Amino acid sequence: MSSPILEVEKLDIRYGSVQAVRGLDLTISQGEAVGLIGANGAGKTTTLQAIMGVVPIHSGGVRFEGSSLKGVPTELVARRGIALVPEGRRIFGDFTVEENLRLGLLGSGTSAGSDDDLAWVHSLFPIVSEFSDRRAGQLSGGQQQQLAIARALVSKPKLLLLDEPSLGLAPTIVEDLFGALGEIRNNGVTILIVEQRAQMAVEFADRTVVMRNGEAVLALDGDESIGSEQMAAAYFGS
Amino acid sequence: MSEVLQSVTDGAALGSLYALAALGIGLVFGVMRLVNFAYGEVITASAYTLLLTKGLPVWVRIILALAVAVLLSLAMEVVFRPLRLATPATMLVATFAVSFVLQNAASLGFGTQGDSVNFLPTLNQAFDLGGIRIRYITLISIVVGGALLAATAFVLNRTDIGLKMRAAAADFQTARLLGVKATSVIVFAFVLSGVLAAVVAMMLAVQRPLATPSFGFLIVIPALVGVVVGGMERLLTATSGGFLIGFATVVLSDLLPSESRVFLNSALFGLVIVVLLVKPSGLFIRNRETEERL
Repeated sequence: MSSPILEVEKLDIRYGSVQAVRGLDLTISQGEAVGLIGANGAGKTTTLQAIMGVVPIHSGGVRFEGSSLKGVPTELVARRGIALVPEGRRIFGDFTVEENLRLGLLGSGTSAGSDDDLAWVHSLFPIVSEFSDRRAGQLSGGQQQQLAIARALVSKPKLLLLDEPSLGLAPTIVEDLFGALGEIRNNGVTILIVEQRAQMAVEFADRTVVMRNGEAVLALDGDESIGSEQMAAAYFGS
Repeated sequence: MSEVLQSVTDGAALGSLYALAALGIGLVFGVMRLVNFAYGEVITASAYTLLLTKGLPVWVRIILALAVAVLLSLAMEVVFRPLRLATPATMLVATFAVSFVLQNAASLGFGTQGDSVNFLPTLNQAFDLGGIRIRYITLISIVVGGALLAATAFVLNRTDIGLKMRAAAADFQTARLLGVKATSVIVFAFVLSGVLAAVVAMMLAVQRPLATPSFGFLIVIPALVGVVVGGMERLLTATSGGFLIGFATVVLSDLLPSESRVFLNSALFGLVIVVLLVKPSGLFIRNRETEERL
């Protein structure tokens, strides 16, 4: 087993008096793909946002490559090599596809992202070169999701966080999307994916954590199959 | 005919000045959602710099006027920094406070009567062009205004920092997620808006050579009205609104018989109220966009 890239330890996050995440422990190793599933309001998105420094950590800690991310501003978390593909894609609809990609590159600080990396991203998502000059808002939902992922990848992240990438997409498009995610994983990018389609997440990830009411209630290995009753119990409590 | 042309030229000149002020306000609003009422005092500070440097070579005065405006603008950025996450109302009141403090400081330091800055007065001379009298400063206002608007558009649309600024204005959270540094983008917006303030101050000082504590305030209020009327969500609409207010002021005052000119401002603001009732998000914002933003 290789060294941990991300260590979440006893993470507590509160919005006022509401506790969104309580005592979450999660360790991700280099090269792993981990799924995070659970009902709405279970704390999945909040967990990703806490890693990125979007929401403040109440107690507990998050470490990336051994150093703490607590209190680190969002843009500096990104520059350390974590990229979040946010829920709802959040592409810049008024900008061209090329400008969206350039932002991903600029933000990473290094003007790096060697030509090889760019070529890889373009081969993974051909639409981003095909529609380079088009306004991003004119792309279809699936294409926008590809753009959002491509935009995250050009910064050469070591850890890719995905929040509900399949949201609002047709089933065939979702399959293509997970195919691309598989290639990204095979390229050595560590992945933490929050997904509403639990079955897809379990099949894709090396292991999957189920959250309920801010806590991790179940951990599944990839080859472990899970009955729907057991899943329902994990989701909603028995 | 020549009277109309005369009005149009003069209107375009004042419109350019208001457009630059509107752009300065709009740049900061875009990245910070802050309507800076104290922007007028940046312009005023530049005017007082021209006053204090009377007698020095023109290029030195220009450089110092620019430097003071940029430094004051940056100082404001530092003052407003703790308010980035504050509500719009809090920010607005804070910028009012800064505006009043600076205006009163100017009154204490320089008095309220005003002193002549004596900045390039020869530019007020006019030349004849096909029957209309054009002052050099009128022409310069239009040319410099147009050039600076084009330059800003170039920076925003063709440079890396411009792309970051547009991204921050469109969706700050996502821009930060991509690694765009919030502070550097905001600081850059304040620098640009400081430069614009200095240019407005200099061109205004030629025509209204009296530096007073309300020198800039009197420009920023109508410019802000223009920003709101045009639509503050977009720089282009905000700037167009600024231009329109300046243009309309001149043209209306030329059209109105002299005894009714006292009603000019009332008439103008009456129009503004009508515009805001009909198109609350701005004259130049298309309805479709309004719906998307709501």
